[in-house]
Amino acid sequence: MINTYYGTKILNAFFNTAYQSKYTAWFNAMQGNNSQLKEDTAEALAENKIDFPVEPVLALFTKAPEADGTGYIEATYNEYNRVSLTQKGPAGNQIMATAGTEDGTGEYAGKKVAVVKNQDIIVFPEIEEEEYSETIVGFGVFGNNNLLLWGELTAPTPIETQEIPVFRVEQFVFKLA
Amino acid sequence: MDKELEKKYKPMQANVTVDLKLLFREQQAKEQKEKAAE
Repeated sequence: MINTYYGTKILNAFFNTAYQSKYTAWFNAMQGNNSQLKEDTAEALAENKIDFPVEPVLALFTKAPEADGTGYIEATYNEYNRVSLTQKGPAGNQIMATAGTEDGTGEYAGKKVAVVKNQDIIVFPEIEEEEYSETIVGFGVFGNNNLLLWGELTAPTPIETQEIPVFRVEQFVFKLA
Repeated sequence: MDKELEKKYKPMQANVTVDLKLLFREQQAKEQKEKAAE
């Protein structure tokens, strides 16, 4: 679950705040069950038609942030770098995202949710540091070095020397409810 | 795809839901607070 404390920051990341009024109707409609609108929105994200005021970059956490966004620990291996989400991946596809909607589950049951997925593999640098071993528990998206949003991995993932941490295609998923 | 590199891949997974209703309320609250401060 995304920590909604960062709601404003997410909006700033995904939608240029200069156009907030333009998106008011969109946000109101997103609260309803307009699957066509959600599909259009996911498609706009997928086709990079929405301006990003900052370049969103993905980070890996070995300790998740506190509720106020502080106290996180990022992966520490020597070769580690954050990865841009707006670049193209190794197969030449834009990393984020794929259009579409699906039925929500759990607290979102009965609602349509827009689904945004990575359509190319997200590859972090290979771990060359000797005798390195840590467990990745979560991720963060940064813009201009500010933590915009974060979430937990589906399962904590140990990484070690000579491994390459990746999100395979469609394994990094955002759902907009 | 480089098969040797692929052998080293350590797959991770994330699947998160962003509740836009909550986000939008937060944004509105922030704007109202800023207007009130002006």
